[in-house]
Amino acid sequence: MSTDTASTPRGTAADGDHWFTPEQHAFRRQVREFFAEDRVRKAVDALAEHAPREESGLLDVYRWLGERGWLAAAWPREYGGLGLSPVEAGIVLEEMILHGVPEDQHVLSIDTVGQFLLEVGTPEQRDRHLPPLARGEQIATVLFSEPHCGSDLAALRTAAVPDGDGWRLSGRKIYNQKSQFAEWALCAARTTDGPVKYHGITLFLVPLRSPGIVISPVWSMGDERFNEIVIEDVRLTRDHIVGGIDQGWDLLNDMLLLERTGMDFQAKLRRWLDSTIADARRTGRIREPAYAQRLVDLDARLEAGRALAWRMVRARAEGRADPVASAAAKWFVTQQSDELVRFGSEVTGLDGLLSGWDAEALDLGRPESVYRQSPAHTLASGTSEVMLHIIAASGLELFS
Amino acid sequence: MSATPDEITDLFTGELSATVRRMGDGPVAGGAPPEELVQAREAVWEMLGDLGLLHRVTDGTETPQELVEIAELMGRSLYRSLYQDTAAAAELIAAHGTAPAHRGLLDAIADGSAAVALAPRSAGTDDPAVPGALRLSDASGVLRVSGSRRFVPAAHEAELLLVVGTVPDGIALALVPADEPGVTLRRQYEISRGDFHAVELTEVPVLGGRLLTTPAQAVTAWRRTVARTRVRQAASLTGLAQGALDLAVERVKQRAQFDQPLARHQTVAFTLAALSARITAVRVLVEETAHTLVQRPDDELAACQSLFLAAELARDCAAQSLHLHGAHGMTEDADIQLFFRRAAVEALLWGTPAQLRASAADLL
Repeated sequence: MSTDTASTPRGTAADGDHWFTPEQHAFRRQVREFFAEDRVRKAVDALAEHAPREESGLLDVYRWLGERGWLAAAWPREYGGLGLSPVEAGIVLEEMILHGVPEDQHVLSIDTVGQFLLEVGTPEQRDRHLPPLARGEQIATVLFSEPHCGSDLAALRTAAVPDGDGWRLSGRKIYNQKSQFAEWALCAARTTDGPVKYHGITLFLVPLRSPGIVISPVWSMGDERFNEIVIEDVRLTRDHIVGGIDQGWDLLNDMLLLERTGMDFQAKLRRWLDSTIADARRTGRIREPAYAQRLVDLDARLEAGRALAWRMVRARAEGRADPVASAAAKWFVTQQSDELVRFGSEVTGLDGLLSGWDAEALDLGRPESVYRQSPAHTLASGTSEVMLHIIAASGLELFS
Repeated sequence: MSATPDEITDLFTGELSATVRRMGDGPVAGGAPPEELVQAREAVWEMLGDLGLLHRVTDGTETPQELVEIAELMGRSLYRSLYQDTAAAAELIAAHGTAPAHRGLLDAIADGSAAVALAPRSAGTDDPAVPGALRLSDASGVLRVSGSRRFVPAAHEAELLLVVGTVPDGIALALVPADEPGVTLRRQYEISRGDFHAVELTEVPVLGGRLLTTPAQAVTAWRRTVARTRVRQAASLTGLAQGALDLAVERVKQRAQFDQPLARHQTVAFTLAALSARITAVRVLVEETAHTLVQRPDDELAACQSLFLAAELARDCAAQSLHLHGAHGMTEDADIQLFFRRAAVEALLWGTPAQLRASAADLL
């Protein structure tokens, strides 16, 4: 490698991001001190030493963050947070990723499922589910995609059929992650048939350890497996509904649009770029114009992406989130991913494509792993095409 | 009109092409590939020998059109073998090998009974045009070679290694039997799950007791070989791009989203159309370069330009075609991920685009 230490985006290194308050700068320093602790570094190093496809479930680092209330820093104290703003939550997420802590569980458990429950869950659902998520003691995931529908989620076929005072849920979900470790999943299912496919979808919080649920791996070229989940006749009650019957489509749109800040993606790309810059220094390629100019260009684009992502976070904190700008942030940041991994491999040459199984792999095979996982960025959390559609339809009003 | 035998075209584009694609996808780590894939690989190699493809290389009758077409077909089906390395070695041996052992080897290459792996890289960052250092010794009248090599393709299947290295008075072109006691092989595990090897050479006797040519003369010989190999590689990458595009076209016709096939969405259709147009342009450039090198074998500029354009095209096609497959494209069941992973390696093998651009800039 590359570098064992965390990446330091220019703003964070110099406390130079003008939009942070002095308290927020101080908070970042505290978070950095935590990640510099010996036990935390050892735990993160141990994760990096995992063989490809050796996936982790619950993480000690998450638990330690949870003990401080930092894992879900923006949640109220009663649910395990600190009642801070999305800015502090963003600082924790950014630092986590810059220090090499896997963020998938955070995005799924805290930013998606937990946030849904916080916004539209019942008091009972919040009391029961949010504290263990905030403590890092449980994982929650989402069951949205199906074999025949990804972006076109309204075409889903998983159905909850009325059964007395409840429902029986059946269907097939795919490309889900972490469900082998998760206790609960937020599942989108059809509850009412009608002429408009966007109507009649309900969100359920499904207990994954129920009889009738079979989770099977779908191996992918990434290190983390996908799962296929077959749900057969699982009994659910009103207590499992999140946000109201047939309200699922609106909720998904409102919540997911606002949740997309690009923060997780930009931090991940920044870590990769900093690693590439370190490799360019090590190999001397930083002094060759063919490499240096592209590194500078990528650095500029990631700085723009970071500024955009932070602007989205601040907008959320101020209650003026903008779905079009959020889509632009997600699109812009993830568009850099492909070029970044490709150019990174030019800097490292073939050595950077050796996998973690090879004794001579750079940085335990991380550059190779990053390369394999890169296509996921323009697919996950809404494809690039979906982001462009939002910008074209709602931003530019091209289709009206 | 195609200059390639129908059997070859059928093999790499017909029903067997899906099997050929999987033949080059080895185990993630350790273990051996499935026996049926090993046998299929041997059968394809035999077929190439029976059809006289390498014979046309050794006797110098392979036309530029054949060179490009065959490399493109192989790239399109992700065929992984020592064909390109053996062809490059055969051209060098035919031009410079004067020892009886060299002439005998040429006959064995022609009938498909000997394969050669090229070994110019001492590290993954090396530009093969500037081979890594090599040590020659001449103790007790036997010429021997020592050094380390990386990313040697299919070294475990090669009868010989053509070890290329920088020595004080030029470049050494040393053929060594791969089963000599001083040769040790270790498989390298990389993103394409191929069969690259790290090779350690310790005082290994050189075939025929001499280098293929003097180190001073080998400088030009190797430069020309690199240029021709870059054209073969560019053609292969153009084929890889076409293969990825073919899969994407098939997928978007079948997969419906938002009540119509993905192919009917203009953004999808135009993306694929643009890639197709780029493939057409790069293919023509590569063909022209192959012809040019016959007249002007030192035209390295055209070879560099062909290769970096083809390398970037292949990675673009593979990445965008995978994207259009959605999450399914990342699964092990989807062949498009084979193209994505393979393109990563093949695009760098004969020089990274940045290296090629720098070389081309010096030649402009």
